[in-house]
Amino acid sequence: MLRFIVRRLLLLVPILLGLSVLLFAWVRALPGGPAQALLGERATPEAVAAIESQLGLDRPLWEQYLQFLGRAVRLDFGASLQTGQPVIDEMLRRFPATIELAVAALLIAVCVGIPLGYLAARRYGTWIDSVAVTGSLLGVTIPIFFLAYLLKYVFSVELGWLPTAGRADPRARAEHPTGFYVLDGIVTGNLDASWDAIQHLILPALALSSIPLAVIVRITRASVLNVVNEDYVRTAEAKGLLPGTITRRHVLKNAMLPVTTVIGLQLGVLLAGAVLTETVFAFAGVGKFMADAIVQRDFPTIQGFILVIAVVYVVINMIVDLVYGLLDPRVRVS
Amino acid sequence: MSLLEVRDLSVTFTRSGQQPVRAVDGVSFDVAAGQSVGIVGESGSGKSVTSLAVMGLLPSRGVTVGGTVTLDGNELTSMDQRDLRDVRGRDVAMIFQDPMTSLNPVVTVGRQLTEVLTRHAGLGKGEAKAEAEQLLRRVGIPDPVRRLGEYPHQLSGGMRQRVMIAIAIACRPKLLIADEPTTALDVTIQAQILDLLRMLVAESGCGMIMITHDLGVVAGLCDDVHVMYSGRIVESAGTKDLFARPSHPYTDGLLQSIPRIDDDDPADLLHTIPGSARDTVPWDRGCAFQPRCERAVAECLSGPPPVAELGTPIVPHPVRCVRPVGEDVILHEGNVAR
Repeated sequence: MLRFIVRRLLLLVPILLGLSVLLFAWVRALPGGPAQALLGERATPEAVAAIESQLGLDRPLWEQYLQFLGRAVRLDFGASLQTGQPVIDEMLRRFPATIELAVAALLIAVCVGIPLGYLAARRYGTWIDSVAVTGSLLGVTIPIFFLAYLLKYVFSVELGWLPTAGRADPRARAEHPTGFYVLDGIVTGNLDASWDAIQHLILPALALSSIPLAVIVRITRASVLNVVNEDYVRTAEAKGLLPGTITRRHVLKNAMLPVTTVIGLQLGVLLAGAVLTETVFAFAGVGKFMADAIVQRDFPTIQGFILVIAVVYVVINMIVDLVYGLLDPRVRVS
Repeated sequence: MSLLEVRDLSVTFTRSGQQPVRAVDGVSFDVAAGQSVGIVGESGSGKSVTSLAVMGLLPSRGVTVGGTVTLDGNELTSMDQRDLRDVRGRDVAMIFQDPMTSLNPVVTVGRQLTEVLTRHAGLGKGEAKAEAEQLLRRVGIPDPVRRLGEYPHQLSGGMRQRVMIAIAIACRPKLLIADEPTTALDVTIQAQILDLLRMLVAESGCGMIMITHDLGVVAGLCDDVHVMYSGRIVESAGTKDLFARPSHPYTDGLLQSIPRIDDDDPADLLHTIPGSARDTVPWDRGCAFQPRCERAVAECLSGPPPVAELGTPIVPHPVRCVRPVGEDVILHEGNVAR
C-alpha cells in the first residue's frame, strides 16, 4: 500500500518535468517573445529590451529553464502581473473557495446521481427511466451560465430564498483561519457564519453540479444495468436473499466500480476551476482568477496554476486507484 | 407423492413486435427424495428454462409460466416472490454452469457462504462461520479457514464449483438443481465434481435434477432421464433402459454421437445429427425433430405426434414419436396404447 503511494508520487516527477518544459517553451514561443507579449504590440524596442533583461530573458535558454525549474520547485512562480503579489499566495488564497465549491457540487451530484441512476436502471424502460435519461441529457447540454442565471433569478431575485452572490454576507463579522468558510464557522464556533456560507454555496454548487450529476446518472444506470444481468446476481436470487442484501452486497458493490472512476475524474475537472459559475455568482475562486490571468497575459500565474492542477490531477487519480483497490479485490495491490 | 411434481409446465417469452416464443411446452416429470433425474437436450431445448421456472427465477416481465410445480406439497408457480424467497436457498437450491461468473467477484467466499446460512438457518455470525468451515471441508476444500477469507479469483475453477456446491447444500435443501455443473470445467475436474454430487445426494437423501447435454454425465449419475427437444420431453426412461433401448430417433442420434474407440469403421467414428435445432416444425403441426430425422415419414407432419408407451405400467418408457427406433409400424392415436 505504502509502496504503491510512493510509486505513484514518484510518477509525478517525470510528469511535472515534462510539463515544465512545455510551459517554458510555450512562453518563449509567444509572438515577439514574452516581453513583447507583455508590453503589447506598440512597445518600443528599448522597453522590450529593458523588460527582457529584467526578467532574465536575454540569457541562454538552458540557464533560463534551470532558473525557472529551481524556483518552481520552491513553489516560487514569480509575482502575478495582475496584482504584483506572489502567484503562490494568490492561489492559496483562492483555492479553498474552489475546493469548497467543487466538493459541494460533487456531493450534490453523487447524492442525487447514484440513487437516480440506480432507480432508472431498476425501472428500465418506465417513465422514471425516461425522466432520468432525458434529465441527464438536459444536464450536459444546458449552458452552465444560463442555468446559473436561471437559478439566481428564480431563487434569489424572485423568491429571495438565497443570496445572489459572493461567499458570505459582507456585513457579517467572521474570521477565516482556514479559508474554507463552512469549516471556519465550525472551527471558530460561529455556526451562523457556517450557515451563511452554506447558503451562499447552494446556488453555485447546484449550477456547477449539473454536468457531473448528468454523467454520474448515466454511468450508474449503465453500470447497474450491466451488473443485474450478471450470473452472480442470479446466484444471489437463487439463494433466496432479501432484495436489500442483493442490492447492497451484490449489485451496488460491483456497479460502483466504474462510477468511482468517473467521480474522481469529475472532481479533477471541478477543481480546475469553474470560470462561468464563479463569474455569475462572483465567487472568488481560482477559476475567475485564471480567466483574468489569461485575458491579461499573466504568464507567471498561468504557469504556476497549470503545474498545481497537474499535481492535483495525479493525486486524485491515485486516490481513485486506492479506493478502487478497496472496492475490487482483483486489483488490490499485494 | 413425489418430492417434486412438475405438471404441464410451459414457459412463453413475449416481446413487443415479435412472435411469442414457447421455450417450454407441456413438460411433466417427478423427482422423488434421494432420486437423481437427468434432463438432457442441446442448447435451446428448454432444459435450463425449465430449471429456472422450477426455481421461480424467470423475470416477471415478458414471461408467462403455465402449469404447476409442486415441491413437497407446496405449489410454487402461484407463490408470491416474498414466499418464494423463503423457499429458494432453503428447500430448493441451484448450482449453476459457470463458477467463474456465478460467484460475486468482490465479496469473500466466506460471506457468500454465510449469507445463505444467516438468511435461512437463523444462525448468528459466529455459528454461520463455523458451519461454513464445515461445509467447505465437506465439499473437499483443504484449509477452509484461509479459503473463507479469500475472494473467488484466488480459487481455481474446480474449487469455485465446490464453493458453489457448498452454498447450495448449506441449508440442507430437499431438492438440488444442477444446471450443467461440469460444462465449464476441465475433464479431470468434471469427474471429481460428479463424484462429489453423487456422494452428497446419497448422504443427504435430497432429490436432484441434473440438467446436461452430456449423456455421459447422465449415465454415471441419474436414475431417470428425460430427453428434451424444442421445449418438449420426447422420451423418458430409466437410465439403463434408455441406454439399452433408445427409442426416439433424437435420443438414438445423441447416443450414436458419442465417439466410440472400439468402432470398426473409422469413417463412422464421429456420428452427427444433421441440421441444427433451428430447423424445426411447430409442435402443433407435427414433430419438431422431423426436419433432422432420418426416420421421418409423411405422418410426422400430421399434427402433434402421439406419446407411445413402450414400457410397462411399472417401468414406463414413453416416447413422443410416430415411428420409434426398433418399431416397424407407424404409430398413431389409434394404436399407441398397447
